[in-house]
Amino acid sequence: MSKEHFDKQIRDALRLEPAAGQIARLEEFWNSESRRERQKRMVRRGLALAASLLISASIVGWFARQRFDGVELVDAPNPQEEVVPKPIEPVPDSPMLVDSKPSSPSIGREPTALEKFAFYSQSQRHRNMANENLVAVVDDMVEQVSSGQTDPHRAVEDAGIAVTGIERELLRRLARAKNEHKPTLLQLLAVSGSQKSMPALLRLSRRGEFREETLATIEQIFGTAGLADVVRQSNDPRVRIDLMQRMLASDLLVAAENYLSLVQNPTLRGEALSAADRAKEFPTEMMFALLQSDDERIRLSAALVLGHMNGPEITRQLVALVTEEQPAPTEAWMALLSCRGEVAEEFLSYATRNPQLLGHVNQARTQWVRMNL
Amino acid sequence: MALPIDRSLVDRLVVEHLPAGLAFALRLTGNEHAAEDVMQEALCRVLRQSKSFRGESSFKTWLFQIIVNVDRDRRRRKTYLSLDVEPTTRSTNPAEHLSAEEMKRSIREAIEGLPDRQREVAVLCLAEEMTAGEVAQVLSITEANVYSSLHLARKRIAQAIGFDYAPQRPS
Repeated sequence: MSKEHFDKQIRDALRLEPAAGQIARLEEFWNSESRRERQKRMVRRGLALAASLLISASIVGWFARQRFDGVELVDAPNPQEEVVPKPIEPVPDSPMLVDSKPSSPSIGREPTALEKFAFYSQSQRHRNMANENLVAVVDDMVEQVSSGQTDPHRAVEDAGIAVTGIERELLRRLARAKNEHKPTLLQLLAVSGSQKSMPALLRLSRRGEFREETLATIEQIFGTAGLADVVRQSNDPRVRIDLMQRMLASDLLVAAENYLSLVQNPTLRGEALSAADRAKEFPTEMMFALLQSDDERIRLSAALVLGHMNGPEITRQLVALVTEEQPAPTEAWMALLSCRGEVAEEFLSYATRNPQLLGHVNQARTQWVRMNL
Repeated sequence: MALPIDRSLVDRLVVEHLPAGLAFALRLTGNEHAAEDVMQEALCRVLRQSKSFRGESSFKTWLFQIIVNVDRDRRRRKTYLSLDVEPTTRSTNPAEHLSAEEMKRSIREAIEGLPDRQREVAVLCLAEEMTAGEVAQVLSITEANVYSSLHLARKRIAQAIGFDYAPQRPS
């Protein structure tokens, strides 16, 4: 075999042609990837453009503030004043003879109403005046509320200033105020506060001496129904437990449901059950009502809490529920399985021997195992 | 220094050279699924690196460079994932007994068993029928390297299929 023949053999062996379907697939792949890449590039360009516009706008705004802060405001002409028409000056014979100096159109020109408004609103002096006014108003409010002359709600209403400004000033003071002034500030924040107040209030609530007042303020701002969200944002376990106790202490069904939503959370479950232990009056009836809720997760959490609370009274009520209600909810059996004590043991021993009840017991046990709690 | 070419032109060139690129990938890998994978990865790299193509070399050369690099990466990964069996070497001389198909299969196996550089040179020179200069550009090596790799590739393939390969020395 010659070298040429050998090369031809290799060439023939390598003469592999791709299928038309493969080429079509790759073309489609290229088109879709190319389109996606183009979209990504457009988004990147848009973001870069937006960022550059934002930066330019801030730079221009900063320069404008620097330039106009020192400018005295020009009084607007009083419309009441009588306008005296100016005498018409004689027109010079030749424009070449007029002694005119070239001047910039902006020099010496009276600002328009819009410019005056813009200068005035940007003026540092004006801002200082507004701040001084706000400080004085809040001073009055604090004094009136602390002396008992008026209640916080009325004080904020009568202030005649935007609530957001009052909140900002109160939060500024709260960080620096002496301990004796803090309760008054908290009372005022309770009626003027918003979501913005939450970090400061949560920080203050860590200090034992103001926890009660701070938590009351939080409850007033966010409502009992909103306490579950506050619990999720708090970093302090003691504060979380106290907030959960407040949820249990309220008579609102929505608060109890929110409490049970915290029980569902494995990281908060221990604290939630601890709050139930510490609650002055555990809402047993509400928990029994929620044991028959339409929401399965609520039912399971209620079973968990009732089983944890245990006690002869709860056990008796659970026994009554599983024997009288037809069909009895599995969650009630689950709660009963968690109960300890003589009554519970006696009933469960009877149930395991009774063919009609054994099925429920086994189903509840299986459910507990499945939940892996 | 040349500027990056327009993106729509890249789109057009890719579609134009796609069949050639896929055929090259198929010859390089010897497997149509692997070839498609290599080509897909190569297309992704073309998208990412399209700005680096300035039209100084032909688009085909640039695309083949990318395909060669993707195939090398694939083979490097493959060595960690699976243990390939080396193709069997025939010590006797049964070439004349082999049918045409069997001969082709043996040659493909022999090419698959070649070192990367030699396989790439063999495919580019013999199957793609590129000149030594073009191959040197695709593989970023010298033309002398192309000739020596091709010589070694021929020798190994001949040895694998039992063919007595004795190159004629230049007079």
